[in-house]
Amino acid sequence: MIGVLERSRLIVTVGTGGVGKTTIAAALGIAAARRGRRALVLTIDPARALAGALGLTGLAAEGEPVPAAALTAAGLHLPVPLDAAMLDQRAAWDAFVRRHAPTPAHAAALLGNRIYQALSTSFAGSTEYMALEEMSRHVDSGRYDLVIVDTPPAAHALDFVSAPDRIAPLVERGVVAALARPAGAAGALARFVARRIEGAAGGRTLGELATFFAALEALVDAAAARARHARAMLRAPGTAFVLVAAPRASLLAETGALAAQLAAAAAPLAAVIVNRAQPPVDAALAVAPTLATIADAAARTWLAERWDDAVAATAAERAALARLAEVVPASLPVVAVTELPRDLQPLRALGAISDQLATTPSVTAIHA
Amino acid sequence: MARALHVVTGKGGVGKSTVAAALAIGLAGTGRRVLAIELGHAAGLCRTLATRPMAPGAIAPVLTTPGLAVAYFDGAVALAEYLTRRMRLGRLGRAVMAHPLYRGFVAAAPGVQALLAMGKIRDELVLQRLGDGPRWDALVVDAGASGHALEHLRMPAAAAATFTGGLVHREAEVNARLLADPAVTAVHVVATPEDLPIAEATQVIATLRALGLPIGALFVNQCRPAPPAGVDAMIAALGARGDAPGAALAAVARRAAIAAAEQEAALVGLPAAAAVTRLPRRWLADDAALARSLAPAVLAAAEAAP
Repeated sequence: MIGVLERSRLIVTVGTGGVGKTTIAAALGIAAARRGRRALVLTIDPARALAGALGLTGLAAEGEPVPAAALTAAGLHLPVPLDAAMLDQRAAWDAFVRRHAPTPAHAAALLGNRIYQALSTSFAGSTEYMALEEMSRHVDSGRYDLVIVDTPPAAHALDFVSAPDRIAPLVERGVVAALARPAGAAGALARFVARRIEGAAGGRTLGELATFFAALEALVDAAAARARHARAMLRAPGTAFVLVAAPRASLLAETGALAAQLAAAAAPLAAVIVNRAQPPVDAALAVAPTLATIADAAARTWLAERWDDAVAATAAERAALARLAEVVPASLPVVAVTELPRDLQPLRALGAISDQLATTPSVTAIHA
Repeated sequence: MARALHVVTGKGGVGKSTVAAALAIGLAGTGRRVLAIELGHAAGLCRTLATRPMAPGAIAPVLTTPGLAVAYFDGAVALAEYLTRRMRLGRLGRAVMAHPLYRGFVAAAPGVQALLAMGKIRDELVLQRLGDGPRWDALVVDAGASGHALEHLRMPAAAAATFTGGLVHREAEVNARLLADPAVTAVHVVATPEDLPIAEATQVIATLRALGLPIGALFVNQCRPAPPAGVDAMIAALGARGDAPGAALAAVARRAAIAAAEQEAALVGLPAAAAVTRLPRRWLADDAALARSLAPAVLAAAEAAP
């Protein structure tokens, strides 16, 4: 993992929901800052917990340094500041419109459109598209050696990578233009389709829809150029994808498939991090005589069941890790991060995870 | 109450799909014909219930559970058939669907995919017939993580208000009415007993209430049993033994006690009005076995929800 932290300009964490992508992104930021790199952690989630853990009251769209006092109190002595930022989707859209509209009047027309206001943040790929926009804006700002992006909790973890490709057909084939002026669409079939959509959308709304699409059209070239820029950035040397997974056998197929899909999309996968592994216990340990010394029957039963749970968890996670090492390329580091005591102060916990990320040997290396 | 449309959501990773699968298995066990639907890509629910790879929109019987079938509706592809029928495109359907204009509209027009997915669900519930009656007695929809689910649930009402006339308005209005009807629909929320999932569940319930959608059961999944009284003294005594079994048992007991305390602290944050059902934390390698083991408790809670 250290090589990735020292070489990359952009790290993108991907994975299914609930595996701890945000935590890993923050811990990678701490690990990078420890190595003297100016890093920004950009999260997409309304990650109030992350803000709290980093000693911030909230996260803004522009990077804000994690307070030095909070870091010191958690025993973290970073040679350079660490910044954190969060995507505010609505504000990002509005700012995008203002930046790229050809005139202030164009921007005002779109920002004031009822359809834009009601639905601009909810069309397919909208979150991913704005996340990409903010990612490239921060990377291009030159303020950071490394930007770490925590991807949106999408139904499909690869939506983020494919977002530029999905917006491309819309903006590059005159679709917006045709929807704005159905009667002027080229070809009989195009006019038929446009009329059908017109009929479906209904009378008064169509006017607003046309205004929306017309106003959008002025932004299309900018949006297409930005999408191409983000697409190239995701595949550039210096970009590394980190796949975050849970140590569960049932998710192995998904993790293996994700790794394959990233490879197919030419996205440079640098490591798999298996998060929140349980501290392993030794199943061979003879605990029965010790358990028998517990006088209280309820306490004895409770602890015996917890021990059995821990043994089952250790076996299940070990099997999952061994099989994971088989489904990903042998050259890919697979690092297991052990869940920390839950009563640990959040920023200390992030520091401990960053230690684990930097120092834990790869499972693939162990098995090799 | 015998509702027909059960929607399940919650934070990522809390076991939504397991709970949805358990509910579908439970409902089918009462002799009802049940379709379990995963909204979006084939993931948790299909992995738990399907016995072979699934195609988008295709309905596959669940071999281990008579009366139960599973499907996933994935964006524009699975919705094409719905749209062809409702927009009366007839033989031109295929050409229209392949047209860049149509594809661009469906891919990018605000909310269209979510709107169509809800329309397709209503089709399965109301319009699909077997003989004289509906084809299904109940649908269980795994609507994905909270944001994804709320997007779909609010879209019919939002579209009915945004599109003031035409087919989209009429369709959206009917779908919105169906979703808001507590005699038909219940939205069940799943969390685990940790701060973040509980906070998200609380927020989802508040949003559902604001949208006027019927709230079903709140499942707190992966609950741990309470530690016995005097657990701290027991941990200290085990540690004081100075041998390996004592130290290992003390470590396991300490972790379990901390997690149980965290659980109770997190559960304090739950909305008072919610009907909370605790589901136990179990280590079963097989998702389907886990869903079957939870089915009776999940069914009872879903049916008892107000």
